[in-house]
Amino acid sequence: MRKILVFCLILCLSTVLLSAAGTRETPKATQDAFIERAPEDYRGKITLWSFTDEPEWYIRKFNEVYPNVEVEFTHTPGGPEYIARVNAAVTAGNQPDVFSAEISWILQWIESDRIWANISAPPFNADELTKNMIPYVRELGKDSRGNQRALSLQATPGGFFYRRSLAKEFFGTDDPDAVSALWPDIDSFMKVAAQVRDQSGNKVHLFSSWWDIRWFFFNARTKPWVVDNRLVIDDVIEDYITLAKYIRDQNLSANAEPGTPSWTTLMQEGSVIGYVYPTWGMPFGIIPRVEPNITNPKDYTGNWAVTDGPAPFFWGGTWWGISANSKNPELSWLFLRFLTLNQDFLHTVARERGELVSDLRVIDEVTEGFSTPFLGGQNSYAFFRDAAMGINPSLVTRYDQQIEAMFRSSVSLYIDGELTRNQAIENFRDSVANAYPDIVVR
Amino acid sequence: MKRISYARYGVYFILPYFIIFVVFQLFPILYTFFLTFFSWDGFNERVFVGLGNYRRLIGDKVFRIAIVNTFRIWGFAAIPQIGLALLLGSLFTYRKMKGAQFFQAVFYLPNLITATSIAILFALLLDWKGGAVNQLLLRAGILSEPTNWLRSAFWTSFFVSFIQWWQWFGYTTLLIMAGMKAIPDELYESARIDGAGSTTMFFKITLPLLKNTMTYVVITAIIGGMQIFDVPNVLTGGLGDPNRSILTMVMHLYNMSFRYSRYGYGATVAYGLFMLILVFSIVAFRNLQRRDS
Repeated sequence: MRKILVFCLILCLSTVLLSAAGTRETPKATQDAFIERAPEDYRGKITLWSFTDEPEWYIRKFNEVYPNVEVEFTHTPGGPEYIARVNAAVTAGNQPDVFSAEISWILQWIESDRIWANISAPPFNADELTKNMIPYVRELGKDSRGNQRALSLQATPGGFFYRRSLAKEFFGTDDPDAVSALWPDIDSFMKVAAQVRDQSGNKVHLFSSWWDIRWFFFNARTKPWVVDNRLVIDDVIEDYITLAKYIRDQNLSANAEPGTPSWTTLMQEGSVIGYVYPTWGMPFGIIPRVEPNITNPKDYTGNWAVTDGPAPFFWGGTWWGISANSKNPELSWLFLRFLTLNQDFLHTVARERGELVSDLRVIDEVTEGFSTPFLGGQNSYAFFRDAAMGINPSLVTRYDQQIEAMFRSSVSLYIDGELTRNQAIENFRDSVANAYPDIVVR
Repeated sequence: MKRISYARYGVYFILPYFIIFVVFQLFPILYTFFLTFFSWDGFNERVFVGLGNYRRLIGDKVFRIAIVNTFRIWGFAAIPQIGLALLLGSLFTYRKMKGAQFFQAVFYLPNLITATSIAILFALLLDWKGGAVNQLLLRAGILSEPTNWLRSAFWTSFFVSFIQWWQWFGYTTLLIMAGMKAIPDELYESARIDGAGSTTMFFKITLPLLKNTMTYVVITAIIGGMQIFDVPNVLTGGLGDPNRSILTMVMHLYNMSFRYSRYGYGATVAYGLFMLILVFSIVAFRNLQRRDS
């Protein structure tokens, strides 16, 4: 009996010691470029992980061109859960062949040699293929040494999507240019919100909650959240905190925050005029809630439109990379190229999902005469194209996802009246310090 | 004369369990302890920090808040849970209420639902604008306007305790009833002849003889209850809102390890939690086992 126990202990200790000493290797490229094959000659299986269910559509389109490549898709909803899952897989060295990251955490993964493969290098040679990509999309997917690690099929400038019927009722017009002329800045936006509140007897509101309009402020900052390991609360953010309380006290919003069931309910009921969303907001956030299950685009009511908000912004964006240890780099690269660089596919994305793609040639080809049925025939492409060129990604940090969550949590306490403004800011600093002791918060 | 020993067959039979135990339980426990001396973000190299993580744990304000939260949520769940279980056990065993078996099954049902599903259900019920709780209370005239339950620290904590209580009182009732059935009837007969009332009988006969069952119930309630995580995490999105009121110790551990990628420190929180549960269990055990008559 004692021998069994001794054996078990030795087993444990040796496993612990071995894992402590273990190293992981990065695969080396074995050839200069992949051989081009006929589409049906590509065979095999790759795994793909993401945090939304959009890949189901992408994979369907992929298989229409490459029918013999099986793509096994695992959907892990929610940022933190998905990040944790990928991190665990990377630690074990068996991350999926193709996986995505959103802009708020892409910088956590972009520098490492162990996570995404360097696709600038042979046999991928991505740099020759990305010349027509919108610059900020391409540059954000590169590490600090200039190696491309991830690519995106989309650009994500933002706008204010509103219900035409409510616009006619409260503004007398539903024309996008006329509507955006009502709010050249934040102050006038709030005045319009007050007017809507009064006119409807507090039943209809211009926007859903203080958190919905955060992008007008986050993008107006001059400095990102963390500079040289110091937490920075930009002046614009200070104004935002004050305004958030004012919005609650004056009932300027519907007080239904994103992520709560009421937010969805109010969108479906139609008691909120508009939503602050970027390009992907329409197919991902609005259509599935208000007019789902429509297969023929002509069946959309066309009761929505998009226009400029009081400030420009961009939000999100999903970048895709292939695993640094992929057992099937050829097929993985095939999928990534299809997803982000295949012109026919990008045309389909523009047509069927109305999203702004990242390829400049496709954008130019599509913009002329583009009409979005869901938006009542509006040419949303022309609208978003100009905004996309002005996007500046330097405000993005690797901490954005977590810091924004803590910011929301602390400021909510001030808005609810639980803490004073200074207490709430101290609460925020404490949260950041507790989570990231390396960041100087005071 | 040689005696045939069958001892090794016994060993073969327990070996599968031992192997699984070593690989899936003992090894992770030891590896976690090993990690507490390092700082590690999950894929870069481990950095040795000695006792640095432990020093940080002692000064960690949020950890202290998490301890208080966990004890509070646990207390408000476990005490009614055990109390109601004793009451129901008595009713079924001694008052011989009808339908004991049926109710046993019904009370146990909440335990079978996954905690995450319950949390999502309650998030929908407690929703400010459309949730059923607000709608019912408005129509009944008890509220004049909807209350945002999940923005109130008191109510959020209350509902987490409520969910815990609701999930576990059936299981506790079953255990206590089993313990009550084991008490011989003659004791009650003789007590009744001596003129004892039902309250006296309960406190002087039932409770002392339930000592072992109660020890088991309390200790398992401590071990399980101190580890509450799934319900608070799903109900308010992982930061224990509002104002960390339902940030439990395991949630703090999870955030440190998986949200902020600080596995070494998360491992330290895990061991801090282990120490607390151990101490609390020992205290409870000594107290319960002490009453010898």
